[in-house]
Amino acid sequence: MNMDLSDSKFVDKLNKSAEVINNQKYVIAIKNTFSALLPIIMAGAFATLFSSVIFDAQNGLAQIPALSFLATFRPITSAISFFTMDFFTVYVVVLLGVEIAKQNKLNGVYPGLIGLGSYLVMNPTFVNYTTDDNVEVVVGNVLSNQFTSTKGLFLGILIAILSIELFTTFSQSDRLKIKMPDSVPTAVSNSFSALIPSIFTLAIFALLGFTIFQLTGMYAYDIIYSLIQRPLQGAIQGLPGILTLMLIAQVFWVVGIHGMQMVKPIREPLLLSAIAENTAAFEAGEAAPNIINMPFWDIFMTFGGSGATLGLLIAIFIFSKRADHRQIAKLSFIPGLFNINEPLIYGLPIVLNPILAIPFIITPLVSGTIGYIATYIGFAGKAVVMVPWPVPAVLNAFLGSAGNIGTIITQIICIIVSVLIYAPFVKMANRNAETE
Amino acid sequence: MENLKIILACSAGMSTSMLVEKMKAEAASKSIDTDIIALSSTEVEEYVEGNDIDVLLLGPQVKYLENRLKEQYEDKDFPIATVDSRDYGMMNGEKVLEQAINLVENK
Repeated sequence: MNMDLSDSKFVDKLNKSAEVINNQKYVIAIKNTFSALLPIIMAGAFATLFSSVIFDAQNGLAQIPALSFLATFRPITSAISFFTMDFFTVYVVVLLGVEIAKQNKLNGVYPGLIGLGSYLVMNPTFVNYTTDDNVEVVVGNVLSNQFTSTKGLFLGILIAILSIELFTTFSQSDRLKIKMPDSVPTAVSNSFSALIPSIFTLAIFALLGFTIFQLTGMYAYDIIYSLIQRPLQGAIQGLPGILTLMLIAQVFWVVGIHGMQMVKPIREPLLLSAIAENTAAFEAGEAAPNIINMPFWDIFMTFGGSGATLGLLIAIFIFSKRADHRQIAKLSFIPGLFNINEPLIYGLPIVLNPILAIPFIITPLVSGTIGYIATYIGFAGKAVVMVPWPVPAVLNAFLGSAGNIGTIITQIICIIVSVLIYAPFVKMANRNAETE
Repeated sequence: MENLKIILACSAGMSTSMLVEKMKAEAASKSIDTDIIALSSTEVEEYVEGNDIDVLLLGPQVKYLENRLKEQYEDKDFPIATVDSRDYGMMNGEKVLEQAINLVENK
């Protein structure tokens, strides 16, 4: 086997596309937004776990008669859960506005508010409510939580982008600046500089929302949600969709490019909103809707790091006769427990290695399929709270599923399967070393 | 060379932080005065704009940032380069420190 992958046109193309995609303005902004959002998602996750373990009268500590008073404290954690998970889109729109503005050389948090305002003015401020007696009433002065929760996410992203571009254009236009005499202090004149661009931007989006509703009878939210967001979420909630995303990530890794960074602009909005929906449902005592979400990806497809290399580490310890491989595996073991595997990827290496690249690509696809089927048939519980990716295997399954034993067992099965997939290739690498 | 300030960046700043530890140990054993920091790729720009640095090294997994950052910091006088992927994988602190010093000396 003497393929030289490094010279191929294919590798060259992948490198070029990585450069183009990752340096694209909106890709950078979206990635930064979701990484900045993580603490908010984690706050919701902690509150929800705390709620279910301590304050819940059915399953928590509060079920013990002597501790039943704990249930009265539940509104505290419920409030945190609601205003993180059910306000997901609000946070995204503000952060994304700030990030895009930063790329446009407009610094500060103010553009984030313009993004949020532009998004909100497109939505109705009343809801139709059907009472128990089947009377339909219109409740005014409210904002339905579909606009603040993950359901509004795609419209929010779209409006954040459009409004900040518009706001930037207006802000950079000299004709729209209010001219002050030189004697006015700079700070004072600056405070007026955002005035006209702000009014124009908000007015345009209010007008746009109004026009769309007048023309179609639907709000922009309804159109974007049913035409774009729901179909995309549906695609990623199916096994082929998520496996395709993983396959793309793995192929990039094999040529040495951070595969997760390549799929993040699509993965983060879809999988993070999926776990936020599950958390909100779990906190409300309802069934979690989404099998596939961010913890699913980490629990079943990236234990040990990209390529589910915990299996590779174990396979090397058992089967490898190569001193160099054993040495790198030793160096990689502790970081590997925390799902960091660059030493394996670049040290063994897996990159441009025709033998190890095969199981590296296949393993997460197989283990993801196992995780999906186990969750689908109800053996494993769905993940209900977010867990950061460096949390070790087993612990991440335990926390993510709020203590579901089936999820932990399924993950252990996936790890064993990953060892079995990697093993023959580790042995093949032994033979390869002998003949060299 | 006085207090050499080296920045290493990868996607989350985690794997580079391992390499940073090795480089620090290497620098200490050779009594080279250095200040080596690991950053995530999202933190790099903010850091570089607020601090003086001598050299910026990228992990091979974020090599795709190299050209853009070079363009962006054309007017600054610190060199930017990607760490050799094998040195990165082997966490070869000695080689990478050498690379950093060479870049600064030959800029």
